[in-house]
Amino acid sequence: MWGDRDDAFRDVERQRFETVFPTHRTVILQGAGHYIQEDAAEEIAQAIAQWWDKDVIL
Amino acid sequence: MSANDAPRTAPSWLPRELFPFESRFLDVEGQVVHYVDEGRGPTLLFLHGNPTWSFLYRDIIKTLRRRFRCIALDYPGFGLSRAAAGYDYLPASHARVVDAFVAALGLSGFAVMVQDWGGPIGLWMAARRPEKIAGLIIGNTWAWPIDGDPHFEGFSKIMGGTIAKFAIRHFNAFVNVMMPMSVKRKRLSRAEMAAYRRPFPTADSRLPTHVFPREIRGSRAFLGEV
Repeated sequence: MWGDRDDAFRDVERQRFETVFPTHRTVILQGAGHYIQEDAAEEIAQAIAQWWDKDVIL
Repeated sequence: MSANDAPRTAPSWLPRELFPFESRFLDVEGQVVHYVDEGRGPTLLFLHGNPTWSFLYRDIIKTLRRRFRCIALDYPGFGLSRAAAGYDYLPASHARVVDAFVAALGLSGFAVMVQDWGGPIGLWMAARRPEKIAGLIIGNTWAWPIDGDPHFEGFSKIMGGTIAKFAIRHFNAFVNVMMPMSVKRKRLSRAEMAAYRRPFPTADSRLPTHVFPREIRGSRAFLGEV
């Protein structure tokens, strides 16, 4: 879940996580700043629900 | 007032229309930890950063509690959690509190969402109990030493330095300046800003929001462990 208008954490930090966790799903939150939970709550909630259904193996 | 004498009810200023959850309190490692635990289903744990608290996750929880158990806590000194005298507000200490909180609630098969300092804190906890973790939801954060990166070195030096310490203590600068700057799609309402401001009513209560940026450089060993 990555806001692309964060002044603190940038593409390089996201890419490092993507490298460390090769089995991932990236959701870019267009125009969201550092506090993605304020900027993109509904997108995040929907993405979590979909990710849980498709990708999480218990 | 010691942490154990702290009130265990939500304060009257809490905007219930924005945060319509039951406030719960748990003694963890000598600290009084405030958290919400809403909904039933697979468990999601939400970890905040600086200078926020479980309030940050209110809208996500309102949606996901229909089918998930949504748990969000506040680190000691943040939100409605109270720190015991002598608590150092270091990221490593918050991480130990989160780890003990997860153990106390007996959580397993859960996903954890992290953002900002929630990253190092939550991933440290997750690495200690991988068998309990169903997945990681990683928001804008990091989880390694920043060694020499001028982008983070500069922020940590400035916001962790003496001038920023003054601004944070006297003007609640991390809340009043950094938060409006860092929300880009909307403007935080007066009620939302008030909810972020109210946990830090006095100069000393704001120190935890200064420790975090200082520790981007200072907590090298902890970040290395993560």
